[in-house]
Amino acid sequence: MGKSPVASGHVYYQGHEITNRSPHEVARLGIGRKFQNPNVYNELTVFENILLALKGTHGIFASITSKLTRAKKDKIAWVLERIGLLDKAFVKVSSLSHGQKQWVEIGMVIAQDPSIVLLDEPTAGMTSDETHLTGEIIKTMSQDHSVVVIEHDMDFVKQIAQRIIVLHQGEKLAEGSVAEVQNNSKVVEVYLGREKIDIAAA
Amino acid sequence: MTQVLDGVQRSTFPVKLFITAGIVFLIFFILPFLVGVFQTALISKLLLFGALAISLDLVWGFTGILSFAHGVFFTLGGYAMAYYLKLNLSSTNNNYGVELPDFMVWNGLEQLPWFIAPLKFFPVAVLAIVLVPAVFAYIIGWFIFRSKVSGVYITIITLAISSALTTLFISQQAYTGGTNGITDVAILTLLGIEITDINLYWVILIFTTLVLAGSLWLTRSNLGLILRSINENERRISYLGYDVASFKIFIWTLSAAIAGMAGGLFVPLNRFISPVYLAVAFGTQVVIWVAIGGRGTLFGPLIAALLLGQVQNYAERVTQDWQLIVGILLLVVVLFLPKGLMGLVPRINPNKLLMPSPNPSAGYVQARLFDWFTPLQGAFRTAQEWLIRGKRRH
Repeated sequence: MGKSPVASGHVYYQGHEITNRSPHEVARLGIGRKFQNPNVYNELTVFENILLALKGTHGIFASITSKLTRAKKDKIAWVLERIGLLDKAFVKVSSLSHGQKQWVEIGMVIAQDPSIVLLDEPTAGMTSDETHLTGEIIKTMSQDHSVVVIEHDMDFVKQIAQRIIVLHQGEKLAEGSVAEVQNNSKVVEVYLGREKIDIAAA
Repeated sequence: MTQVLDGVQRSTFPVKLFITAGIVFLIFFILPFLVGVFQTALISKLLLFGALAISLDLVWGFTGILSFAHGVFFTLGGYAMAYYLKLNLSSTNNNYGVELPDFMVWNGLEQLPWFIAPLKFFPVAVLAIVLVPAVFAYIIGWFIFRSKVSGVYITIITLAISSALTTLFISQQAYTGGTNGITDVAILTLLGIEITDINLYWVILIFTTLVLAGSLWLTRSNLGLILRSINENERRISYLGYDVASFKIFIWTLSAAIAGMAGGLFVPLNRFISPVYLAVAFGTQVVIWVAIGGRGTLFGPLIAALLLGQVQNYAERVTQDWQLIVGILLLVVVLFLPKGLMGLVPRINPNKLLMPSPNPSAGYVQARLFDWFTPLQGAFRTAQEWLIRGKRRH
């Protein structure tokens, strides 16, 4: 959806066809995305990163006249609290650790207030403590948003998943709860001993 | 918990800025009474070059689009003004005693071309000074930014535009005056007052002040944040719902309009305009002002234009090869001051000012742009560090 051209098929979202639509149009429909590597603004502060992501008008004129209102500050503080970076609000992102950068980006997605959140390996490169914290952030997030996570760290998947879809070579292999998937004979057959398991958890 | 963010304001912008601006403005107000006619004219010219440099800073420093075509936008505005002034020469002042400008007579034109004729009227000329460069930039920008051309390719396109227009203006001698350009223009007269020397200086001083203030205001809004984000990673910001191309086209067009206005004011001062200002060499000079002054600082490019102009003025008296001196300066800046002259005064960088926080627990010292002692402190600290480093080496 914007990053790579669609080879075949169509993508629909809430009745809108979004195949090959430009990224900003897709985002405005309420789809928040985060890719594997932290994609944040290193030269800006954490606060500014979240401010940019806030849901609202994205026009040129609006950006010139927009004021930093009480409501916006509260919203940013609320987001920062969720990702545990409130005390780092005015720190440049470049000085944060890798894990913290990932959280900043998750914070940006939360600030967008999308109806659906797509996260691609949000814990890539994190320590186990950081991974656990990220799991808690995602669990809280899933109370307000539909969250789709692509992940192959099984412990992490167990922590966050309500519904799991196992993919194998681009095809759906199995679907269900953690226990169901783990006991699925096809999953065991295909993935046992293999390095990488792609799991989509919702 | 939200109290942590209470300190966030749009900075202490009005009071301190206005005091600082007032003092600087006052210095420039007194200046023409202290220096001679020659220096007044030189400073007028350099203030216009400063405004031009600020316009490039908006697209290069903030948005990351390196353009060598800003001399072109400047010159397009200049030609619009030059036609106006040329067409308003009284017949007696004209070499041939006719309405038609001299270069058109030489080149065998019998009649004023339809697209130049309306420029005889002041409102049309003023509109043309702004709109010709702006529309031209908009068209180029639309194609470049919508087609997702990026980085160095944009720069190459701007170089090509500069070269192509230089060739075009030289070849269309009957319409443009060729290599000589449009010379011997009338003195600009507004409401019966001749705008020369000191009057022109006031107009230019006000213009450049407005350009600086407007650019500061613009870049300190959310727009500035978005432009800097486009510079760092334009893909990410599009995933947040911003249409990157439209922002680029907007700032590009606005910047060209500012450059055009500067060019429009340049002609009454310079009394002629020629394809020299369309050429890549002049476009490069604008880039150098921004690079030396410090990208994304707005103040820096203005200061660099003023300083380098003076350096050139004095160097020219000593040697013909003043460009060598400017070249060495550029090398020194690139090698030792990657952030330009403004890097010497770290706290004065308006970028950092966007979201100052007085909250020390956030581990962030408030950037105090308009505390005038900080530049001194900064310079002092830099000097200290140099000395310490020097001592260690020995």
